[in-house]
Amino acid sequence: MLEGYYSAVTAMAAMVAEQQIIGNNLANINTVGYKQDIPQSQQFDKLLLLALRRDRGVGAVERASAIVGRAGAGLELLPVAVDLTDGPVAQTNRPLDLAIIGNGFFRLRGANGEDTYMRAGAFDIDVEGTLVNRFGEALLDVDGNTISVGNGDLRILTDGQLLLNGQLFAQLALFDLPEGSDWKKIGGSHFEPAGPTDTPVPTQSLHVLQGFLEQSNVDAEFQSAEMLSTLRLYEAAQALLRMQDESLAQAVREVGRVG
Amino acid sequence: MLSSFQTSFTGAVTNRKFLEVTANNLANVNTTAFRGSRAEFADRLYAELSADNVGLDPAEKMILPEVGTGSSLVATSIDLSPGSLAITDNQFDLAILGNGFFQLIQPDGTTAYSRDGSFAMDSNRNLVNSSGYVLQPTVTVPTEAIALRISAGGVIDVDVPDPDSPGSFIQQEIGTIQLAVFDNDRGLDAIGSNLFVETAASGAASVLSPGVGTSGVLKQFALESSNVDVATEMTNIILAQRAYQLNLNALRQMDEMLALATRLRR
Repeated sequence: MLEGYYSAVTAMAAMVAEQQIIGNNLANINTVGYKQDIPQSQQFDKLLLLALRRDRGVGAVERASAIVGRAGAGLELLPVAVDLTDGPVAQTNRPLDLAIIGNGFFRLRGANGEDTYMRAGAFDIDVEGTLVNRFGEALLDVDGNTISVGNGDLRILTDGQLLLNGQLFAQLALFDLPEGSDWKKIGGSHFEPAGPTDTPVPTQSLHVLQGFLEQSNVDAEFQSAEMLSTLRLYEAAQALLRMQDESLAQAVREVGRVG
Repeated sequence: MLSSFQTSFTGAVTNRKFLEVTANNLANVNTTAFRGSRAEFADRLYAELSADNVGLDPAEKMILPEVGTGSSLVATSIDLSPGSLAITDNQFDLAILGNGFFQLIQPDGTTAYSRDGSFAMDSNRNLVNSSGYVLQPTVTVPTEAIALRISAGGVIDVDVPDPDSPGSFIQQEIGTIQLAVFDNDRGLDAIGSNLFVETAASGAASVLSPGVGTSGVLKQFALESSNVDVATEMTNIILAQRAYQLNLNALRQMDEMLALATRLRR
């Protein structure tokens, strides 16, 4: 009987998490270069098997299956899927705004020399004349060098060639993960490979637009609809929990009563 | 559950700031030489849903979704593109075509920089801006002077009565306007009233005559308009407002869910 409680409670917990993911998407509806999260859920036991398969050898699944049986069925969220489809591109006419069309991420070098990746392309020129993002991380060209612009007139062609005062001086490169690896978001519009061993590689071709910015790809209608269904599912699970509670109470009161 | 309130709250706050920046741009759509700003946002940190996983052996860990915690304002960046020119009939009106800033002495003695070239004469017959700050280098207009001309190179000529032949006028040079240029205009700090001050990021000002080096040239009887585009700002107002509402909806829904949870125990 208590398994029923479990199912209802896990469903409620999953809906709260889903609402949090929707809330985060809506909070970032005007964030340049933001990619929306798609919550994914499935039955609890399946999830456990999947988690085990990912972390340990396949043989471990059998050993753990007894535990799965006891845990009961329920609903649990899977790791969030990031929707990497392009956001709409808006014209800003600012020479240091860059929008990526299609695949790829900008590669930047942080203060400690580590590489970071992002889609948000609002750049600036720092005191030394280097092209940097809003966090002071330097944009890297195809050879992994920072891009020094100084006080010159910068033009960026759609194929990523950088012209300074009309002279070709560097080539931009975009990076993406090989098939089968995923990006994950780490905040501040930054992305990193989800797996520690995944290394981004330069894309075959690239398409960038100077004077444009890629807007958030959050779909307001979809998120609002998801929000409604989340609320109704939560309500249903809550009703289920109360019904089970009532029938358990009835059992306690009436079963075994004589006369 | 409660962190979700925080998430939607940051979204509402972010979009209120978006609204404020946009409203400020729109309010200055007719301000001479105004430079519009843009609010820029980023997502906040992502964290694993459950704290139970912390400290576990990696092999024991379940894969839990990492959930974002909202958005925040990262920068308001100034759009440095020039505004269009408006022709005026005031001889003290000046527009800069190209790079450079006028230099003005503030009451505290420090220099501020501005693109706003709507000058006037103060009681000492010095050229001052609309706040009464004296243009540098100081230009004093002689009392008897009539027509005042300013060349593209900044040389100021006036016509003064000829002492040798009463009734006729001769040309007299009374000074040269000089412009300040910076290595990085984006590093300048906007202090309001159309004024900027230099910072470590902008580098020190180099003072040049108009048309020399990277400095732009002057145009008399013209003012630079605000570079704010009304259509863009109106669109931004709508975007900010709708996003604000959506975030409040999400907040209200979390509240409903919490109410349902509390009603479990009657």
